[in-house]
Amino acid sequence: MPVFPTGDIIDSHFRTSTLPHIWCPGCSHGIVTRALAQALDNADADKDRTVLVSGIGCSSRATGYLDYYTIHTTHGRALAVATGLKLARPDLRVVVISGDGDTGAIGTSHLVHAARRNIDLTLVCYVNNTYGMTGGQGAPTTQCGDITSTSPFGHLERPLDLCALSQAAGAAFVARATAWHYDLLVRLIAKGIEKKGFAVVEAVSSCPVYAGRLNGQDTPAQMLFAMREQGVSDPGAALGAGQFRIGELWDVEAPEYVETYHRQARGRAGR
Amino acid sequence: MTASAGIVDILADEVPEIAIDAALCKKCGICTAVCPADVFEPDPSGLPIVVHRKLCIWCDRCEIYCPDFAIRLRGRRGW
Repeated sequence: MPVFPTGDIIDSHFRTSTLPHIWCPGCSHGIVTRALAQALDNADADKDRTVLVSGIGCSSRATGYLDYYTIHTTHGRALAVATGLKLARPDLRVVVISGDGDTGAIGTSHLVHAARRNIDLTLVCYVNNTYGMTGGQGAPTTQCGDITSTSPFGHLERPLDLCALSQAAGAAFVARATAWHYDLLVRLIAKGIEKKGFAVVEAVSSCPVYAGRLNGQDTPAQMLFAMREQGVSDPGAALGAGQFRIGELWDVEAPEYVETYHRQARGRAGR
Repeated sequence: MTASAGIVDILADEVPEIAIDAALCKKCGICTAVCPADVFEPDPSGLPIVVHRKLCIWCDRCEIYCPDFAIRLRGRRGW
């Protein structure tokens, strides 16, 4: 289905009275959130049967702007709350919005165990390689050598690959796209929402105010254009410095936790 | 898609109406940079102004890449 974005997506999927949002000028989170709304629309998500759960961070503010049932939870625990919600109400479609600090640092164990259980959730992880809300500290996804407010001489740690981690932990669907690759991002999120099992979509975003300014990318548009070079869709191509693969990275069928749990519970109750 | 698919749609607009919501715009400059037809130019405060509307090729880039949902393209497409 071709994507023809129109302003209608904003009117029909956002709480327009809450706009303008708090994100800084040029922050790609707005683009990713529009892609998420478009994907929910493409996947025919029922507003009364879809719940968006988010943690803490810039990205997690998205639940405040989207006109669905939403839960803004504590730091890193979005997946834990969503797991409880999905087990209690398997009829609901649950989408988790989270950032890289939320998923990759504070809530890493929840990511690993949600993937291990292969519970029917969709995680949309906004990755901007920094902690934007608190002032640009180094995050687990910060590239080696990048300047952050906690590593003024260059970040020494190697970045965590959330997609590889999710795949290794047992997620059924793993994909990555960037804010620049908008149509791909919409398709992947929609596919993740429709996937039975744990789906992880890493949405590469940007933080022009902290990560960009400290690393010589002066304008938000420059960061957006850089994503075009960083994202490599050819699975056979060699990756250069700062590049990453985009597209569907992993898609398998595996036993889904909520279904197996309720089957066992029904069996024990003799029903 | 109209019923007359395949026939030239004489009611189609050549270029869209480009509406910029100044209350939402944060003057980040993305629309001006991504536009392949140089439709926008920033005014002294940084707010994008539609200066060459007739050059618009209706590629939707400004609308989808506007992180603040400030740009709307309106009109009837010929395709």
